[in-house]
Amino acid sequence: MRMGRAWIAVAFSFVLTSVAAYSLLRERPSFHGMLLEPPLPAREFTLESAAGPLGTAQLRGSHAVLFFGYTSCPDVCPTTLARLAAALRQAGPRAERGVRVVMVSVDPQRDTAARLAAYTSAFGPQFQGATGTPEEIARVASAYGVAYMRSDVETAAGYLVDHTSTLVVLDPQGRMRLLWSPVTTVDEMASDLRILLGR
Amino acid sequence: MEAMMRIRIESLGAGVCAVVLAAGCGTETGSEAERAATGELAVAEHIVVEDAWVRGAPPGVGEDTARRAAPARDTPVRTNNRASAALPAGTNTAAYMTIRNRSEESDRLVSASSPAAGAVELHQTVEEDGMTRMRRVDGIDIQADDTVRLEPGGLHVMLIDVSRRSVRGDSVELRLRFERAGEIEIRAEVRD
Repeated sequence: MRMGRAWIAVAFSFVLTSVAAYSLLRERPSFHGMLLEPPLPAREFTLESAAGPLGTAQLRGSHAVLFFGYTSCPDVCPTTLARLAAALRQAGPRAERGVRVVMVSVDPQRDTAARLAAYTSAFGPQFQGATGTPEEIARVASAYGVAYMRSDVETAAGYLVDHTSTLVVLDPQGRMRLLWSPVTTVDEMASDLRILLGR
Repeated sequence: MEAMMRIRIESLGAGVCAVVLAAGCGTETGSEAERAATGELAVAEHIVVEDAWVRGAPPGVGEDTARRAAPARDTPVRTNNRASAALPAGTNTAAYMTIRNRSEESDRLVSASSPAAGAVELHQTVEEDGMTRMRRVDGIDIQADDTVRLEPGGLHVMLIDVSRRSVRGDSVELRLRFERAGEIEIRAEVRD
């Protein structure tokens, strides 16, 4: 009988501890990416997409993820976009429907708006590509802390472009809210998105 | 409470997955010859190439776009039966695989070719000064009794100007040339 009571006490305290731990974790969500607190005002820009002008004005009202890459990139760009697409699916319908993704081309010479659209749409309907003049692209990239340069590697692909692969998350007010390094996992991005969108 | 429920449903889902996985594992323990017959692995001399795949990202999602634009409900267990992933003609992509050397001497992957691509090169992606850079490599060494993984964001076989449109589930023929083992023909499955 006394044993039974002891067990009930143990079970009860276990439940209490679990509930406490759960609510603690719930109340203090932690980001895997680098949270910008307070959000950093982002530079306004307008580039071109196949569907017309695309920039901070068009993105306002939604969370948006900016990625700087190019369509001839065989490894990192499609990997990053595929992982981002997986993270959006994993984060649930609100993320999948509400978050927009823009790949800004760091290769405006080869990436036309149409080529970018064909490329990005393969990852999901919320993915778009944006391009502009080399000067415009350079201004946007530096405003978001992104560097890129034509690589001197000799390749049958013509040329490659080295670039920063950081993902920049903008909040609905168009401010920089979160940065993801290229090694952030799908689970980590999905978890961050759930916190950002308020579960 | 709703979150609690979801966790329970999710763990139930995980249980089901584990069972399916276990069943899957059972079929995977076939002999090397059986696996070679299905194209799951390629063996030549002392070199074994396994799990070869090609990223089939763009373009055209077509009917899939409509389905994904309006997901039904927040189902914790998602089926991933999308029919997207296609290699358009004239794009670049990468092939990944695991290469095992089961001999006492090292070997070296020196080149690769494919009837599906205009050119094939060996590359490595590296993170340097906060930038993602691609380097072309002359070869990939596989030490004696060692395994080298070609994976996204690292070593990869770069396919340039993919000449044939292929879709998810298709496979791409690749010829790998090793210093000692000679040429090995493999089929890399197109995946997202």
